[in-house]
Amino acid sequence: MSTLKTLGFLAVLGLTLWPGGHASRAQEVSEYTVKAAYLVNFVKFITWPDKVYDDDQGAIVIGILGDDPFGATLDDMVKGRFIEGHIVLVRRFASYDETQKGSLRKCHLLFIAYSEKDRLRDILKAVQGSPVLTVSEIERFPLAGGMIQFDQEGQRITLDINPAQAQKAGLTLSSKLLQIAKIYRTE
Amino acid sequence: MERRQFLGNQSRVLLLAVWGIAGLFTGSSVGAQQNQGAPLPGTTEDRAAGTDLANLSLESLAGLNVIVTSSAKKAESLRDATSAIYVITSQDIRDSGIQDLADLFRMVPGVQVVRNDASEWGVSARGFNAQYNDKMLVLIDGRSLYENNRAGVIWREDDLPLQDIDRIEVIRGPGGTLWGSNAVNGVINIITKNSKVTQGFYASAIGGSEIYESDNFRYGGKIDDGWYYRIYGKTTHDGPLQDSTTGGNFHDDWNDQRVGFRSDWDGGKDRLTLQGDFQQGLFNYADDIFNPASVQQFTDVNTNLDQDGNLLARWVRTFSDTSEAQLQAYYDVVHIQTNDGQLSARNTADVEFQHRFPLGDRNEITWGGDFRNTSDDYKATNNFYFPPQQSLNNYGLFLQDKVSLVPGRLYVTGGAKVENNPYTGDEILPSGRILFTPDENESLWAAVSRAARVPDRFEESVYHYRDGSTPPLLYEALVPNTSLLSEELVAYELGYRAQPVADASLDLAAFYNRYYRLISNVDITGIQPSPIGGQLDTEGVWVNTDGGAIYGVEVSVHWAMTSFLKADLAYSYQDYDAVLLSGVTSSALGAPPPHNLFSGRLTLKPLPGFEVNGAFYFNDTTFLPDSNPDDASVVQAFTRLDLGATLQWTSNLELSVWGQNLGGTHTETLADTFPAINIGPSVYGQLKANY
Repeated sequence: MSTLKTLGFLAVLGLTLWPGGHASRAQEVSEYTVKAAYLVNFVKFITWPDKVYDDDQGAIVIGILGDDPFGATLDDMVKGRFIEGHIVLVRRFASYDETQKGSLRKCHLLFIAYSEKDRLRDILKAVQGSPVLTVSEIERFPLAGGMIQFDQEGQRITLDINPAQAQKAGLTLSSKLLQIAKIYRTE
Repeated sequence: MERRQFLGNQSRVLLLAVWGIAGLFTGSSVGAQQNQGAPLPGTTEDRAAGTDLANLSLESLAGLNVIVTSSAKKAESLRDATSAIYVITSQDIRDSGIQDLADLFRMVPGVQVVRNDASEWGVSARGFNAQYNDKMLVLIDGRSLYENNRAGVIWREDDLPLQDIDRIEVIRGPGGTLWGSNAVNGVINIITKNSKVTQGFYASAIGGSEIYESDNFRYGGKIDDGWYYRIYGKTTHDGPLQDSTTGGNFHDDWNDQRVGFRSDWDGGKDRLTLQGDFQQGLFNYADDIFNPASVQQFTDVNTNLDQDGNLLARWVRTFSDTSEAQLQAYYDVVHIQTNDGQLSARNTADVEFQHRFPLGDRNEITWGGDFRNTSDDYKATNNFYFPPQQSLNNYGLFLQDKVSLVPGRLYVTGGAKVENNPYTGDEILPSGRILFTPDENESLWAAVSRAARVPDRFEESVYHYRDGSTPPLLYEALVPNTSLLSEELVAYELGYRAQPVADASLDLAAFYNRYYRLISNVDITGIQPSPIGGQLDTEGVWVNTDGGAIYGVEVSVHWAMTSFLKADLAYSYQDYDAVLLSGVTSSALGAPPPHNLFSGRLTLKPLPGFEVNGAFYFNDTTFLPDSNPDDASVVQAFTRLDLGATLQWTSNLELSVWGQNLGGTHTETLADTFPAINIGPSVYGQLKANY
């Protein structure tokens, strides 16, 4: 009985999923390529206070704090192109240490890697008051005082955003960004 | 009957092999035309795709299906852990090719896995492995699998679908302060995926020569914003394996069906989870049966029907990033029907509460309490007499404080759990831990803790009839003891972790475990009344015997050399006092650890969407204790080699072919009184599909 059953099962699977069977299949890429593309895209949908472009000839700085999950993918995305009229630089930082405080505050966008989970509170405190967009994939990041969290629904990457935190830091988030995100509100 | 099954197996394997080859061709041509493979991060193809992605609109990005990897989560807070913890990620599970939950632990340093038959395993960290290992606590999403009748975990009862597992945290060493008694040699925490990330359809089918068949189905849906669910079904048909003495059938077929669900609601501050499983399995085993009527012992094949169900609810409230409370309750039912028609039942009701909050700038307090009621109704079988119906309560309270002496550098954690059980009364389980992080890439930790293994119902109240002599009414039996004390462990641990470069990490742990009052049976003689009538001739009784020490070192290395080559190594060396081998009557105590355990795993991704995985496991000679060292059984050292190839055919379809135990046939067992199984080379093919 089980042989027939399994054969049937495989046949059904095969027929429904045969590669040529569906012309409209979505393009599929790895998780961190999409997350890197989001990071670059954020630059277009966030307005920083003007004065923060002073350093680095007006470049926008993306900081990666902790174990970098992106590798060369992110560098390739920003290399040799202007985004909203700015060049984008990627800076990488080892696991959080108080001595990094000054450099972290100079980032426009700070991606806090999963490896920093237990140091999150100190990191957010360190950049508090500076116009730094904090992004992370650490669970419940918007509730912990962060701004944007990469989340997952099925096989899609989703965004959880706490707009109040961004506002406090002097950042303006475009409504387009808020439209595709799940909004968290904290008092 | 047997022949038909054999042919069935072959045709299935053949079919999968044909599919595999077909897939190699069609998959590559389709990939070339449409560039639809699933590129790996960092490969040229992916980087090129990434540059294009940067130009996509937010809406398009939000609509992309991605291949999810859990590599970033591997390092989750490990730097700051003050115990010997190893995390098995969902990626590790996939790359191992392993299909039986218990076999996964072969990759963990210092953990020994021994299969007893098609549906039974012994899993232990740091020694005392046995079919019913009474010193390891195992939990699935906070639900304990440890059953206190025959103290241990019955792995067949929780054959959950491995693709639903998010990660498994394996802690070697005591965890009594947080988890209570019986978390002596280790704690295994199996955490399943949130239903939010298992949306859509998933199905997989396996056909093979040893794992005869295993089918999986899952569907995940969304009820409302922030409210998701999944349902699943799984069937397993495993075995029969080979009898090592006769070379014939070990009569250990295992047929299992499972259905279950999980639903998660996230309302921001509050999160609710409701989940449940129902499982029904038929498992066979050959056993020495004692028949009280004829006072004779004979060997027969037992067919038991095993029906389990559980329902769990959890509520988590987040007050702030540093403060969280959790309330959890579950109900678990196990019914076992033996082949003589007797039905035994075990019900567990459990409620737990936990709260974590900061106190001032320097202290992080975690406290909580729990209550558990276990009621059972075990029917006497031919071999065992159980006192009818018992209802036992356990309750406990714990408090732990983590103090940062030098913020970011030096932490001290102290705590204790006070627990009450019906057999030995109060148990106090304290621990003290210290963590030093000299820089961001290194950490050193040390710990001293006490743990206790509470006597089980078997040792306290069950008569185990073994042989009849002098008819009509004189039996030989192993008798219980109601005045047993808990087994005690005082453990000293030391650990070092380093991550010299982003892609490599090293984890070292050393331990010295001193055990006291270990429970075993000793020979005594004497005639006493038997609870099933007549007299019994006492053969043995459970007593607190001597203790002894087990000590060793464990090391694991993870290295992602390039984006297409990854290696994981684990090794442990362990030794022990001679008393653990010869000072007791039987293997009831469990086996001392083998001196050497090794596992090495390699993943190679030569092409986008195609990967080759290999795993090698070595288990050194294992000695089973006996009062007469000359009688000690020896399980010879064995190796296991698994090789597999996986093709991500399309983004929705994955095909893999695995060869397991390719090194040859070896014998695995932890029981010294029964024949053992032979595990030989086997193959299986698997097709996975998702939408």
